Amino acid sequence: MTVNERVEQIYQAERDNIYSYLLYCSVPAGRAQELAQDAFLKLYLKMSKGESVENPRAWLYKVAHNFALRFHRREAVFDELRDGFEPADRLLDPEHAAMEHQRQTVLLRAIRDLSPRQRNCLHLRAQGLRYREIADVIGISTSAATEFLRRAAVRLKGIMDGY
Amino acid sequence: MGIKGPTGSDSPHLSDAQLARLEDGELSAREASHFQSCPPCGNRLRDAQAARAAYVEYRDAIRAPLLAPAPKPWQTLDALIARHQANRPRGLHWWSVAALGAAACVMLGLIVSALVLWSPRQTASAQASRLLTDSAKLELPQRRLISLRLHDRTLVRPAVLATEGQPEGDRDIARLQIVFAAAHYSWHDPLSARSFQAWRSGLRDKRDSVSIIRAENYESYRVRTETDSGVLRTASLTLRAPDLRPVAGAFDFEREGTVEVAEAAASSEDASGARALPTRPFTAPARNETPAGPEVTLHVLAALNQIGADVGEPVEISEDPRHRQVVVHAAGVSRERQRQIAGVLKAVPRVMLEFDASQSSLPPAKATPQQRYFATIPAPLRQQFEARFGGPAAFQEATDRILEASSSAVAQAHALEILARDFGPPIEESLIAPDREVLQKLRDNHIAESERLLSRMRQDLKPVLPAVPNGAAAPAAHGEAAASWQAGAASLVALARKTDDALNRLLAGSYSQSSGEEMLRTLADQIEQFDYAIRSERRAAR
Repeated sequence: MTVNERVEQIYQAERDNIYSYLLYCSVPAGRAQELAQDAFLKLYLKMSKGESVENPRAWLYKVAHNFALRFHRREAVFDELRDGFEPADRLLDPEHAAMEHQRQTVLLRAIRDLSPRQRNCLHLRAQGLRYREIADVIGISTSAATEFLRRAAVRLKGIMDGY
Repeated sequence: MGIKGPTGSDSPHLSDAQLARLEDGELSAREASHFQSCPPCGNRLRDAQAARAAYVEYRDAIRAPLLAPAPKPWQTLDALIARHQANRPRGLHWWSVAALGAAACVMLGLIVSALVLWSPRQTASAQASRLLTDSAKLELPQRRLISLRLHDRTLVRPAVLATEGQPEGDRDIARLQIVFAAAHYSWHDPLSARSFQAWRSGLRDKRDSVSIIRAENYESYRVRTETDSGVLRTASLTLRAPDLRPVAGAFDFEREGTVEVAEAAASSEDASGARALPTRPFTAPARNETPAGPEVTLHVLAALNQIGADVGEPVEISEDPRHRQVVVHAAGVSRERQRQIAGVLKAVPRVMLEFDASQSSLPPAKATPQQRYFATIPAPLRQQFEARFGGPAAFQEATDRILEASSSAVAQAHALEILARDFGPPIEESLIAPDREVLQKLRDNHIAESERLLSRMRQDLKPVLPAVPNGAAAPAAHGEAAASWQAGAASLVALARKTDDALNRLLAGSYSQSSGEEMLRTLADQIEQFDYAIRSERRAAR
């Protein structure tokens, strides 16, 4: 498989994820798409020079994170949610809809109560990154990333138990 | 039998780090075997997995439906690579980057401006249609001239050709004529809203955007339409705001490059004989053909600094593809802020300012602290904090101030880092003395602001921070003094972030009493290191 084919494969699989990550970092949609495309171009340029990238996905998140930092010229609050934000209703029967809505409202509050850094770590974890990769993306130590995730787990467990 | 924890002490359970490595499949078989027979460790692992599952549910079921879809079709990787290669060496452009007489004149003083006429509810398409329709009603002078940039020369011709479809003798012009015809765009009258609208309305799929730009003396609206069908993939028309007269256009043809069209400088209401003017190619040295130097970016930063827009705001500074102008793009800023930005940049030449026509619904860059941060701090430590700060309310206020100051300090350090990156020692040396002074003033402002913020944080933290630790640790941690202020900027921003992390963990995280006490001790040291880095920058700047 050529470098071009390999990056093309990654591009097809991951571009929406990288784009979404930039949105979570409060980058406006138009710019987020441009930056996401730039990230894959960077990956291609790096790999075409023969440089190895251990985990291209993690590398792309790191590039995207740095793009977002540069865009804002400061660390933006990860996944900043506005007041009044509520889960959308889905097409379920009324009884299930009410239960589902209640559960999602609790879940939303629980996520909101996490610190931005905890949300950021959890998001990257949910995207399948390893602990040390998460730390590398955000620019913190692995132990700090582990700690953020541990605390997030404890807080979510406390709130979500019973739902 | 216990397993050695990361600290080397015997522990009956896996440490957090070991559990993390277990989850990642990086734990040795011997260590992992403990997990098989230890219910508490199994529970911890399940908690971590449950948290991930809960977040996945949140991400997919609650948050994802509200994320904006990608506004444009994704470019293929090949297209991205091709564009990159085309932009790299200037000589490779099919359409040369050389002169463009009047087009450069028009583009030259364009600066973005605030907008007056927009209804936020209007979609970009509706805005584009309205502008084009209104512009098409305008009666244009019959003897108008336009210039077209092609290859390494600029062609001047009547805006409206006397005859349609007559083959051109010149090879490049003939090719242009064919390309326009293939795109179903009028070669007869390219710089008109009517022609643009005719092409646009024939597209099966299209994406419109409208930007507001400001020339030295008037505002303009740029209507841009993209499509995936046909050979003309992107076209834009710039309409002068007072009367919506089309003054410039750009046509990006697949595999051909961009053709830029503009009203020719010689064009006037009274131009005589223009209709009969033969098509005549000529090489026109245009104004501002020299690349915009770093001093333009510097003046932009200095202007933005006057209103604090160079730090912590979604303002992006870049160069246009031909390096002729500095483009300042601001997304999601209020109209009032747009006016302020346009105002300070008005006096800076070679700047094009772009704002999104529709106001962004982005939340403000700096969020107001809303949550009671200390809800998760262990009770004994929280009580200790509250007692030292003078009560829960005073503690909350101090926490808000500290985190706000810390976030601002990161922004200042980051701004300094960008300054260092864009104006390394060779570039700084190359600046003329007054510009060097501007750079130094900007740099000093960021350093001074970082100092002020750190001082404020220290003051607010005074009730809980242990006595200043031995100062020897700070230089050791910071390493050798940097050779230049540029070299030290990266270190400064890293320490600012580290301090910010530590403060967020201490004041907004959740942890045990013993961890909190340890964090307090290390925080004092962290702040010392940050302080030392700032002072080092100050020294290196002298």
